[in-house]
Amino acid sequence: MIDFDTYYSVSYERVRRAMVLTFRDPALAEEITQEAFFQTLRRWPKVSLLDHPEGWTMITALNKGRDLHRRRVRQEAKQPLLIQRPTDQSGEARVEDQMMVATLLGGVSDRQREALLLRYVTQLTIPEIAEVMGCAEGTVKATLHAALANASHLAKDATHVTD
Amino acid sequence: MSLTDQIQDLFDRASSSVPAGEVPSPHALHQRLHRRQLRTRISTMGGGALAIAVSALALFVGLASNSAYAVTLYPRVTGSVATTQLIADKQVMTARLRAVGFPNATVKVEHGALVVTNGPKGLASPTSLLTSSPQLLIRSVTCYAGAQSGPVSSNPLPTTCSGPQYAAPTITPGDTSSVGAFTAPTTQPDPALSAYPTTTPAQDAASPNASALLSILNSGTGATQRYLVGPSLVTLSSKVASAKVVDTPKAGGWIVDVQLNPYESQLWDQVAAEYFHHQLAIDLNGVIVEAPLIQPANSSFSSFDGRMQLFAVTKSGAYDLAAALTSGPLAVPLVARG
Repeated sequence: MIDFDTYYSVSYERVRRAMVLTFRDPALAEEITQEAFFQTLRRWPKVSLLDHPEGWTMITALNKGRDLHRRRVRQEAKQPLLIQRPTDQSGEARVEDQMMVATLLGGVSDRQREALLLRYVTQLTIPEIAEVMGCAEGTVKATLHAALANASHLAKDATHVTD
Repeated sequence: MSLTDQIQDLFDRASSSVPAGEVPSPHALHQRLHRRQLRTRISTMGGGALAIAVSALALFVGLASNSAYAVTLYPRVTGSVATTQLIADKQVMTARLRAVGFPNATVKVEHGALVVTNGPKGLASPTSLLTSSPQLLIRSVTCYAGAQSGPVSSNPLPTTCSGPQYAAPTITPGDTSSVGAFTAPTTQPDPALSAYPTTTPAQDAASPNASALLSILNSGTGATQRYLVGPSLVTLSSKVASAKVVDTPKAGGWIVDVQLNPYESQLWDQVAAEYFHHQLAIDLNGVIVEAPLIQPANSSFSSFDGRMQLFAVTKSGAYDLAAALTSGPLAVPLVARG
């Protein structure tokens, strides 16, 4: 069984970055990542037995972030997700990449967002994603396919907007 | 490059472009978890302790109060009892149980007995007034006696005091100086009566026309006090018009305000007028529950209008007495066995 502290040191930064890309709020990302790892620690005896604990932590963070984000959006009456700008604008290329990913993640459903992050951030295979998300492999493939189609469509739109 | 590869590349670049943050020490998470577990443990222990306290309190209150109870009551007579008598008892018992606050109590006639469920636990007591027919005998007080002590005398009970100083207090006719400012005299117990045993309720019921040496109902804090009383002057055993427990407890007990029915009200007035300025004893099933000196502050007798006050040691006893008096006598007295 892997030690929690080792797992934490390996996975923390990856989960945090995924949350930054998803919610485009470093403070919020920090908060939900901490919370997700705390929940992981609470259930570590069980979570550590999973093949991919990071997938469990990632989904926990997404769920927590979604709740917090919705609450903040309601409270602060923020602008819609897609036209928000990344907070870090120190480099144009960095901004464009983050903007693109933010656009992709912001324009898909919750399940599609989970699948995209597990696939492209956590680097899980289709069977692994299916196990983490608790669904069939076919469902994961369909979800990813729909997410990519959606992403492709949004990417073109975003490019047009940028142009 | 496929779309999947392009997306992967995009995610890699975007992810790496996110400024690196400082990874907080996991020690903070461990500390937070420890605090949470401690809180949960304390909360669980507190909840457990609270549950135990509530259960203990509920148990104590349940035991202390007249909790729901089931008891079988048999006729207190040796011969056979007609079913009609038991049915009559059932009606009286049901009325009494309603009056003492057990509206859900059920009474059934089964195999020559009454089975009471959801009734008061005091119903099983052999001295319960709910299972007996209250009989109020009005007797004249002859003299005051202390508790029985020394060798028990088998001689017949005397009918007079051994000395005038032990006689019950009276107001001399024509002594107007004492009227209006009466103070009850302190009467000493007659030492000649200390050898005589107390008349039992059974003896009292069997021989109402004989003198009796009866205990005075008190709060049970002091020694037994008794009165030598004369033969019964009148027996009041019908259903009274009303009986109410007075909320304010008398010192060491409770008062039941009784309103007699018109016929017994007349009997009470006749006896009270005859014994005006003398002391009478109200004998309830072998125990003196009141011993009033009749209207000591009045110069002439005035009707009681059927009013009478009876004493009870406990609140439940007072309510039992009131219920028994207002529901009328049982066709046959009952007793719990086993």
